Amino acid sequence: MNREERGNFFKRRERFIQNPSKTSVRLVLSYLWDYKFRFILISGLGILQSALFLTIPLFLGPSLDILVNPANSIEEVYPLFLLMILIQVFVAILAGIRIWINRWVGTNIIYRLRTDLFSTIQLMSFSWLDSHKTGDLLSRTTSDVNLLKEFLGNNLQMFIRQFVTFSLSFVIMFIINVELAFYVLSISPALFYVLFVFRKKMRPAFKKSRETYSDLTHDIQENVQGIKVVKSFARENHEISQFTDLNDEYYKDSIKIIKIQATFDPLIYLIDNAAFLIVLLLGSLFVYNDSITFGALFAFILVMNFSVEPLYFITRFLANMPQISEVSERIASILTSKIEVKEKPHATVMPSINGVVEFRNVSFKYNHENKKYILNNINFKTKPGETVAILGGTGSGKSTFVKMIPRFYDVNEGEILIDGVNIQDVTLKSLRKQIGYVSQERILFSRSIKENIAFGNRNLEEEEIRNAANIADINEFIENELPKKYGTKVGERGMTLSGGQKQRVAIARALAVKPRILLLDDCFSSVDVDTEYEIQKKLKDAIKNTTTFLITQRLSTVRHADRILVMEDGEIIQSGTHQELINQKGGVYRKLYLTLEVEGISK
Amino acid sequence: MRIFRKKKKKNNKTSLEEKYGMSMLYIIKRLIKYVGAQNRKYIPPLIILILTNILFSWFSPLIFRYLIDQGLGADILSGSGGNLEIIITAGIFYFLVTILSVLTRIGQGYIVQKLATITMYNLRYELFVKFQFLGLDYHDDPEKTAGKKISYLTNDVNSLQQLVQSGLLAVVGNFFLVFGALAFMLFLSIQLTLVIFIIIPILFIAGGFLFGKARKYFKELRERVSSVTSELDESIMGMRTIQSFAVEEYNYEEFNEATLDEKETSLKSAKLFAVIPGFVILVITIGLGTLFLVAGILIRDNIITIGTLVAFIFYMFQFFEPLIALIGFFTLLQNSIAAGARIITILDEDPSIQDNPDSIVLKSIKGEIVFKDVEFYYDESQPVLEDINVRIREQERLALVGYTGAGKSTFIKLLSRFYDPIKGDIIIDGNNLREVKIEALRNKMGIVLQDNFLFSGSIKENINYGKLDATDDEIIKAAKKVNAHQFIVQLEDGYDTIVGERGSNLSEGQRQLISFARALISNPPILILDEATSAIDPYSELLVQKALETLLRNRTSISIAHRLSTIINSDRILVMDRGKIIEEGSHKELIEKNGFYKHLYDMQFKDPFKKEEIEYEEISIEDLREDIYDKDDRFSGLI
Repeated sequence: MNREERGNFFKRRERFIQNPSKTSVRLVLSYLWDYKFRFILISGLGILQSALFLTIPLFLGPSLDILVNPANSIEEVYPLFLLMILIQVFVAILAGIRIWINRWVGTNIIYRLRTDLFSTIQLMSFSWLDSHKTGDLLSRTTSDVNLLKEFLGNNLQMFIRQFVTFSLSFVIMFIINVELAFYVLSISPALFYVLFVFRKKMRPAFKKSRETYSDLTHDIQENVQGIKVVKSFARENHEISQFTDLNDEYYKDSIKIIKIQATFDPLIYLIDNAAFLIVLLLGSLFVYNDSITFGALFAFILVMNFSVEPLYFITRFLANMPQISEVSERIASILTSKIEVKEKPHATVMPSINGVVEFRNVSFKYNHENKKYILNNINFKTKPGETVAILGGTGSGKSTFVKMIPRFYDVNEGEILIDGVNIQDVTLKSLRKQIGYVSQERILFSRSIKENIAFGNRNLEEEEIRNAANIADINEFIENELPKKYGTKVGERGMTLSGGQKQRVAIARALAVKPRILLLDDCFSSVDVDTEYEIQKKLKDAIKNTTTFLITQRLSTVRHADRILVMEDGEIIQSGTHQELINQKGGVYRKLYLTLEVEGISK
Repeated sequence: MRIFRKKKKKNNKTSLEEKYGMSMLYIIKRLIKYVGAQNRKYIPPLIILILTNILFSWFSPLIFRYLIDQGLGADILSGSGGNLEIIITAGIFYFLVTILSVLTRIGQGYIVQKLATITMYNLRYELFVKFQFLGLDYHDDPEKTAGKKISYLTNDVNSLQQLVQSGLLAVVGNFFLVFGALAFMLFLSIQLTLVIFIIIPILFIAGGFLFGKARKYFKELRERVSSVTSELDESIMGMRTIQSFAVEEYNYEEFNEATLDEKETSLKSAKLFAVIPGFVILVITIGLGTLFLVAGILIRDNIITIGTLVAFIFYMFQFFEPLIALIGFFTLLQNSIAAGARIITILDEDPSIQDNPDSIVLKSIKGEIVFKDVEFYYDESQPVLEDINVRIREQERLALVGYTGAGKSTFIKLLSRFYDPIKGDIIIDGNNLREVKIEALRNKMGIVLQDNFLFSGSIKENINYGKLDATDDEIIKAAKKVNAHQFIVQLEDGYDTIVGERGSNLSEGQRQLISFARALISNPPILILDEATSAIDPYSELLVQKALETLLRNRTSISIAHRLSTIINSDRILVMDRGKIIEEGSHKELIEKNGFYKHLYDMQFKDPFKKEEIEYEEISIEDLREDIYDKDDRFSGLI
């Protein structure tokens, strides 16, 4: 079942990408189309249900006529009532079946849509993730999907049904009395005119208020995120006045909308009542003239009443359509995203890595439009088990350099080989499974510490987990300070790990997969010097045969490396051991080292 | 009715009170106060409008009765005995009532929505202001993430607006409407009212039963949905980690499990939802049928007139409609009451530090700081600062050194009065901090924080955040002094370059320099650097250090640094450990002392793997300087 769903996902994805001309709403509706027979069935049931429900007045009117005339016996109405109730029992059953199928379809569509979104995001490469904000993605997969759930699972169906009810009620009105129905119909242009005018008026007002709201939200975000800066410059009042300007504007926008809205509903009410008044007056005259019975007039009014609710629903539904198309667009833009780092169709499995990493004429930039390359014609080759430290300023490309090895990004030019195999020729999984990568970000998942460490390999023995934690110098903390030791859940109430502790768990997590290549991307930034020292010492023995790339801010931990690379503007400008580099006169490394350390010491 | 009420109360109490420590009733009371207190002038017209509208609603069915009974005549079946005049009079009456009713509806709708909007406006304002003045103790709490706070200010406020709007409409007028309609029904026909009241209990008992079941499903569904959301949240945030461990499949399975759970719960509840509308249809049909049957017999026996029946039906609608609206309101209440609880919790929060009414405003200060027997803790059993006695001289450069948790940050937080000491005093130029206006105090202090937060405006705007009325010249001068000018002018738009979200299109070092310029332009007599340089790579550090020299000149400064190289030039270094000052002196003195500082220092520069020192050519400091600065424009700014 699971596997099948996954397969279907790839089929659907294929379809979306091959027909990019499809509009977003159509793409979203195609999820509904997969259940087309059920959808048609539901619609049919819905129409039948509405039609049968509308027969109630057709029974009540004549029965009233029979009842009020003392010449008739009461028994005459019993069959009418019985039939009416029987039909409605049938309606109730129909409704039940329809709603059940409807919910089933809605739930399944949403399930599919959400897992498809999730699977798509999982497929996307780092560059895609870089250009999409987490909060934005989250709101698309939650609140946007929920909106669509309402739309596809409920409102669309309801719209069809209400529309039919509305139309059918007119049909029945015509059946009861053509003339009266005609008068009611003659009022409807007024209704559509009001609808039209309001939509036209509302649109710019809504647009303006949405824009202001987004400015307001932006202001709030900035303020909340920078609250410490605000406080340290004592700029609270400045911030408040800035916020108040936007808050005022949003208030004004809202009031503008309210002014329009407050007249809308009553106007509809007015038209509705005008129609009612006409029917009542003319109907009375007809009864007076004996051209219809009172019962018929009564039935007519009842039917008219049944058409009011659908009318309100239809107007609201149409008013919400722009929002639906907006949401569909957001969702479709994820579903049709292209994968940048793609496996070749016949990618092979990466054999067990020995540890020779080679960059051949590698150039890379994040965005094709950028002129500047982040990595510029890099040539470089490690020996198996070598420890390479990389040094360079922000923007020098050091972090990008290590991220190329697990193929988080694809090179623009050149190639990267591991043990002589081009990494683009192997499956991503087989490649990444053998590489341990620890990033600057300290992302842990809210599960137990144990599960966090065993994240890359669920079948680890307790002993192995403890061992990895021990190398990352976090075992002692876990055993002694955490209430449930390795079973403690990260992020549980009152359990907050410091930045340094998180980094250490993240290091243990990477070590636990026993990587053949280890990439430490500035992962000691929040760790105390003493601790980094400890960890590095233990690492040295633990990963003797693992090719290691190390980016760190501390020069003291760089110099034990087998080789040090100094990077600048995407190029390797120096390469060698500490001993060699320290003696390269005029070299950057020597300058760095001497200024920061020797100058300090000799003071 | 009693059955489902009881259940409801019980359930709410447990979940709400557990989480927020307040009952639903209390929250509603507070919110009502909120809406009422600030909008008093709108309440009387609103009530008048609502009541007028209700009067109209009560009036119209009577017009129908008049029209049918008098206009069409008692014997409507034969068509004779009617009165055209009455029909037309009734028509005109009804038309007038409708027009007036439309007007009151417009007024009513406008005021209600306006009230809700004002409430939203005020709530958002008060929350925002509250956040500005809550102390760092609040904002530092890792549980209170920026995301949560943003959501309070946006989503929660919005959902309360909805609640107020729907509440005002559903509760205020409907109460009268229901009882009025009931009175009229009884007045028109006791027998017909009885028929209705036989149906109502059935409706409530069955409805209560279904509702109770639905609540259970709703609760389960909410839990499932929230677990799907948190699963999504984690996965999206950790997507890079997931991909780097190549555990997408496993992760998909975990996510799938959560969504499948949700799907199943949703399907389970679908059966229930399928039953409800059918049930409603049946009740309506049987109800209407019985009503008509009884009414027919009553009319036949001349106990009531047809007009009475018509009027009765209209009152019946008036009776049920508000009840349906109330149910809608309660559903909304269920969903948004938690938002109310969250907002009230924050509004009730007291800023830990507040100005005394008789606090003085510091006009200008020289920068002499005295810590006198200062003691501080967050939790009594764990002292954070103990027995701190320091005198910082005017224009002295002081550095604080120690492990994480030694009390350095707290030292600074007390100085900038984000907290008050539990015991002892902090005195600036002879003024006790407790007797000084906070805003004026912080205006005299520059604080450079660890993460160099920049706002997403232009570079210029970011720099003049330190001095709002700064001229362009002043901004450029400040940027020059901290070596930021060179790189800024090289950017495409120079000083008008827009800094991306969280300053992302600048390097760490550049952001640091801009935040230095921001601090420098405010020209504070006291400058605090809270681990300002720890996020910087050694490469950028060279650039920053020189800027730091400029920044620290001519003022009292206190810096915390992990990186010892940045504080070696300080006049005095305080070494802290577990809340106490354990060593004190210049770098040289402390090294000679061979104590804790020496240990820290060695740790930072010692090679962990090789015991012996690495050999390199001996080089004199002068040669070194030449070597570093000569012919390398990268460092030209430093000389």
